Amino acid sequence: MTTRTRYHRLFVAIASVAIVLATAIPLHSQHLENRATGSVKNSGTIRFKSDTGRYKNAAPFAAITNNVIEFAGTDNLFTDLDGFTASSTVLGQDPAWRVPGLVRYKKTGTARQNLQPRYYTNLENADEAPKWIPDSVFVGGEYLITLSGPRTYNGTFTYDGSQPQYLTSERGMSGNVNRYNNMTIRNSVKNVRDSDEVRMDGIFTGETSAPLRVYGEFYWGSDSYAFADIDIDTVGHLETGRGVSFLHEDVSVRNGDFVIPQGSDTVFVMPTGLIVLRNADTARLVMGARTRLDILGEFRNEHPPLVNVSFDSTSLVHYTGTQTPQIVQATVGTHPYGNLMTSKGVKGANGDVHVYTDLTVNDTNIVMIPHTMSMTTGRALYTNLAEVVGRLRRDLRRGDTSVTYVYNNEETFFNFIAKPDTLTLDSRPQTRPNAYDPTTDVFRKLTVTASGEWQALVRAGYRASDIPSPWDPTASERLLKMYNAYPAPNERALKLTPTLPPTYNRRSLAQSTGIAYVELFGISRSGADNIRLDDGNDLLLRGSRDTLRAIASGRWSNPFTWDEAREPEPIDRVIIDGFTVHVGYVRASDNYAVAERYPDSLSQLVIVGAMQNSSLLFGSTGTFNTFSYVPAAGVDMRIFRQAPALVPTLSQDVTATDIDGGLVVYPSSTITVTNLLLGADATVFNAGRLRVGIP
Amino acid sequence: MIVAAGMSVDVSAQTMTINGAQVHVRENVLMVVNGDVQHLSGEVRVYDDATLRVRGTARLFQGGWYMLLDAYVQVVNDLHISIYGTCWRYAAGSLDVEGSIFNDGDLNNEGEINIGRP
Repeated sequence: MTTRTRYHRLFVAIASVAIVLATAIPLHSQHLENRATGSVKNSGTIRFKSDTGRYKNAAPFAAITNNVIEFAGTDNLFTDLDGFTASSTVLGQDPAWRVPGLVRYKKTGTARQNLQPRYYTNLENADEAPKWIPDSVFVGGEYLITLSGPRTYNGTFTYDGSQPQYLTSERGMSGNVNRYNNMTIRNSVKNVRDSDEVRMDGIFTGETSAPLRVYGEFYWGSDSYAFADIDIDTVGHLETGRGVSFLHEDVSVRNGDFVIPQGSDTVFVMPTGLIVLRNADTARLVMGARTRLDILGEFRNEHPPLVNVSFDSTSLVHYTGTQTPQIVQATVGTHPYGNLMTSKGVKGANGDVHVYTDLTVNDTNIVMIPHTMSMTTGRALYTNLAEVVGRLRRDLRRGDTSVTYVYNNEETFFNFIAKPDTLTLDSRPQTRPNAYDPTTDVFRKLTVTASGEWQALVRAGYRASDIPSPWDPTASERLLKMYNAYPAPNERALKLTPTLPPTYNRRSLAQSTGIAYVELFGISRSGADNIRLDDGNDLLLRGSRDTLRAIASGRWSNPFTWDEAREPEPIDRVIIDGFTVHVGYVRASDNYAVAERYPDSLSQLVIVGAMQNSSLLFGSTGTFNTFSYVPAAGVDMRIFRQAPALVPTLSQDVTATDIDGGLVVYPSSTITVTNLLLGADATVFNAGRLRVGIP
Repeated sequence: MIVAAGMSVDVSAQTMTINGAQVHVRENVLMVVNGDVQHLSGEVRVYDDATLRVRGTARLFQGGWYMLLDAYVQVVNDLHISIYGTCWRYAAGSLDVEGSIFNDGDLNNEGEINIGRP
């Protein structure tokens, strides 16, 4: 072989390699470039096979038709002739330039295929290459997933067709792979097909123009905003996401589930919104543990058995609308609310309302009439003087005598000594109770019914509006007592004094923040007249000034000497019969050292009866030694007890022993009374100064 | 290989020019242009199951290319369609353009058009 021949063969070999390389590496761009005068009418398929192939367009939109554009590369694009993606003639840049027909991203292998943010008519992901779906992908028709590799969604995927659309299944359980990130629907009805399952990770926005029909399963991701109606039917299933959800229009459940699952944040039914469960036991609302539903609009259950709801005991339904009244949806005992809260406008109810855990009433009343608010042993909490007006029933079978059970307002409760199975208090402010006397009584009807015997400390709250007209001058809130009030035709009120003295606790309106109360220990459903509140009778609150009776031997100033557990006031009338009452000093009978509050006007009238040990003793403590009854005409002291023996009077008696002496005035003590009436054989022992008449 | 090298050198010089002619590539035949096509006017009709292979660039200035049924047309470089040109790919065959399509005229596709190479 000559040298020339060898060089020739080397040249040929190098040239061959060069040609092979040149053949393997494209020398030309690989686009479809449709220029200003061009038209592309495609009723077949135009396929871009290179990674960078582009559909470039400068022609008017009308010059383009399309069946299928298939992108088989990694980064295919729609652009203008200069490569820009957003100028006026680029396909898919805005809704008016929406890419007609179908755009299919179809690639084999493992290299990621990037979708372009576009307005598509129909969009398809196919073959096993992973798909990267950016923000701002809009589909106006159908979204197809055909044996596609994993799809990673970023930003917002929007269904925005003007004709009804189906939301395509994506079933990924977490993250944004094979699961939508954000989703927006607009412009027409959207459907989740029966047997389809649509899951998302981010924000759902259903615009006003896009009602949603859920016939399959739809799982929201984080926050959700529904501005149009949602229908759940054909065993559809809609679950709210972990963020807050805002329902601005109706959610109508015909046959399926609206679920607020555990871990979901608050769902708001906005003022224009409504959740309605149609009349079917398969039209269900389910609230999981620690979930919350805030209803500014309405919740309505049209299925009369009301068994189509399930509220976890830790869930909370909060009615917080301002409409008057906002209606609280009734529930049944087998399917009660977990926690129920109300606030803002006045509430009504369309039936009995059952609450399993706590009831919180804020701001304004719940008017239950003619229905019943029914609880078990949970807390009833009130703010801003709100109340439950009407019946509040408690099932107390799981109750405890160590717990205070609040009823219709923050100052009305029962603390049971013996508890019944159930006890209902019907509290109606500004309503006439049985045996009502407008000059002395609280204008509030409190009716107690129970199943089973009970005994309790009872506190009853009332408001200023429950005293609508001026009382008799002798009546007072400080004198409020509880009565067992019978209905017509034999209306009467029996004073309750379960203990002697009765253990009253009171807070007046002046002392209160708006709800005053009177509280009495020991009221019972059965027993003697003085302790019994009959089932169905009213608990009357009466502020009349009754004649005080001594019920124990003790000092005049000691409340526990008297049957109303209070010291007599100048306006009072007093009876001492069978007890020894002393004034002005300490005896061992009660060792009570508080001085008399009104030493110069002890009372209007005092009667010392004829029973054994009936005595009124006047002593002194240093200079505290001068006493008087009200210095006015018509004020009497009447003595009827005859002492069986002389009473020692050299010094005031400080023992605990009863003294049987009628009226006794010890040395250094002075008592003045306008009129002194001594009965037959009555005795008076005066070792101090007894002045009769007004000087 | 030497032949290939020779083709690459010679292809620009090997141009088929169509100027008013009617070219019928009949069924089941193969026609190869080892270079460019300058279609000034006239028509090219490629019939069912026929193949037209252009191993260069095709420039269609006026007139039309019609690919019927399962006809297969391959253009190894670019396809230019001028404002007076029509390229009509009927169903169901393919037009493969391994470079770009530059269209100022009418491009109608009822079958498949493949652009570029993987």
